Amino acid sequence: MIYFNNVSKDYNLELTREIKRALENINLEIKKNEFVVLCGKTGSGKTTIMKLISGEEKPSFGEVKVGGLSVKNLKQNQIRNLRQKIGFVFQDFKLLPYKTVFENIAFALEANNFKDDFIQKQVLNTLKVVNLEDKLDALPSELSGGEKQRVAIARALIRNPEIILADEPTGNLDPYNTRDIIKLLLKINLNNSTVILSTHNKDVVNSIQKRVITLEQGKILRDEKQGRYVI
Amino acid sequence: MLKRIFKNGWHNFIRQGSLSSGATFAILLGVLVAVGLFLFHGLMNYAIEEVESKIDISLFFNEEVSREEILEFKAELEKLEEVKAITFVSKEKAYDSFVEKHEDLIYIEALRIIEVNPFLASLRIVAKDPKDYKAISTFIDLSEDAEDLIYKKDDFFKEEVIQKIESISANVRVVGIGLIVLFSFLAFLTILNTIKLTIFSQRKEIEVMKLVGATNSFIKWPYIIQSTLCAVIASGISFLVTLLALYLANASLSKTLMGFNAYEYFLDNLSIILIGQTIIAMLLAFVSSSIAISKYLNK
Repeated sequence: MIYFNNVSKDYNLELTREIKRALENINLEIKKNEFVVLCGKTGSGKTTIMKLISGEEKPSFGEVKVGGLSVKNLKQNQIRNLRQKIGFVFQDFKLLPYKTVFENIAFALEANNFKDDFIQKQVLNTLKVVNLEDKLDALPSELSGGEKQRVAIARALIRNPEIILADEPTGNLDPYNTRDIIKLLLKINLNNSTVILSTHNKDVVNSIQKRVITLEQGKILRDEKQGRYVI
Repeated sequence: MLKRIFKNGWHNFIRQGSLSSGATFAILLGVLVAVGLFLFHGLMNYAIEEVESKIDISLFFNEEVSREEILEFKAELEKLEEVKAITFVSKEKAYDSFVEKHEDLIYIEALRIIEVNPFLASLRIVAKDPKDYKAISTFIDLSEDAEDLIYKKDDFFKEEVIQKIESISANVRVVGIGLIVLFSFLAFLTILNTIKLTIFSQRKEIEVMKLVGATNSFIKWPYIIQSTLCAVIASGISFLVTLLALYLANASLSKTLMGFNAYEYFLDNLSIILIGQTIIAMLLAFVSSSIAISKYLNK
């Protein structure tokens, strides 16, 4: 489903006018319905891998293929189509602050011209999955960190995406909420979505017993089927 | 889809109260500048017309010339295409208006004592354009009847005076247009930058909207609708503020502005001002928000 073939990514640092290599010669394959954990220190290249998958960034060298399409050559509307197959979950939630929980989740469907009845049904079903039916009309500012992240997951799930990209989703949460969010991601994975989780959290990595790719300075240090957090 | 775009625009406007107020205030300033410039344009034209109206040719007729002869000569002059208007002032009317004007002066008493009306009947000729006075004056000079009829011809149009007035009028118009362009540009910049800041503060939300697969137009239009709503509100406030300010300050303003009645001018042009300022405000908001948001959409 996702292929990285000798992928390197360079960033031009505007301030110092230097070129910083974020990823170097990455080769990896992520299969459909796989649960993959990316771990590594800050700046190791976890987020860059996610950005390359979502088409936010293009590889400087090599090729990234998602669902058979090379990300490098995608046009604006093809990137939009690609993103409709991906659900995003971020550390800082990235909810739309002036929209209610319902509107935040419905936005992705509204933007793609789904009918009101369908949106209503779909949002309510998704809110049940994340256990937030009672927060329908709340604004993000009225929610706790854990609730915000569950709304973000509901938003990611609303279109039944093939891939979930979760970039440090538990970074701002307490252990109790962290456990809840990870359980939720595992449940989503069981429902036929490929989940790519980037995390620093040793307990999370060690408890879920899934494939772990460890990155260091833009290179893959280890890629283990049932890996552990070793840095 | 259109309904959703409007709904999102309306929600943005209502829920982002402080941002909407800031944008409304910036647009309000821009619209007030535009209305101010419109009033300035009116004042400028009024001043030029006032000066131009002081120029005329007055013909004073000999004592023995009858009213019919004067009116015949008037009809002759009215045939000239350069002539805008001719006013006939009879001896009696000239006497009455002098008395009316100088009631407390001592020589009014003298006039009453001598019991004679020393004033002459006259014609006051106003040309369509200050440049036309020379042609009218030449026509009078060359007229065969002029010598017998006319006692005195007063030319209040000296060539150089007219040239000066014309040059001042032209300069005032150029400066006026320059000021209008300058202030309009400054108002546009103010609005553009305020809306830019409003949208800049939401760049992360725009990024998220793109990530969840929203089209550029689905992201862009609610912001444009939000700005347009701000523009309509700003236009309404500007209208009420100007109307009230002119109503309250009209008497003192009129004295300062050489008799220019700004309130009356505002009422005379009510529909132009109301429609014009609303269109200008909406246009400014539309252009500014389109420019501001395109930066984030094209990333």
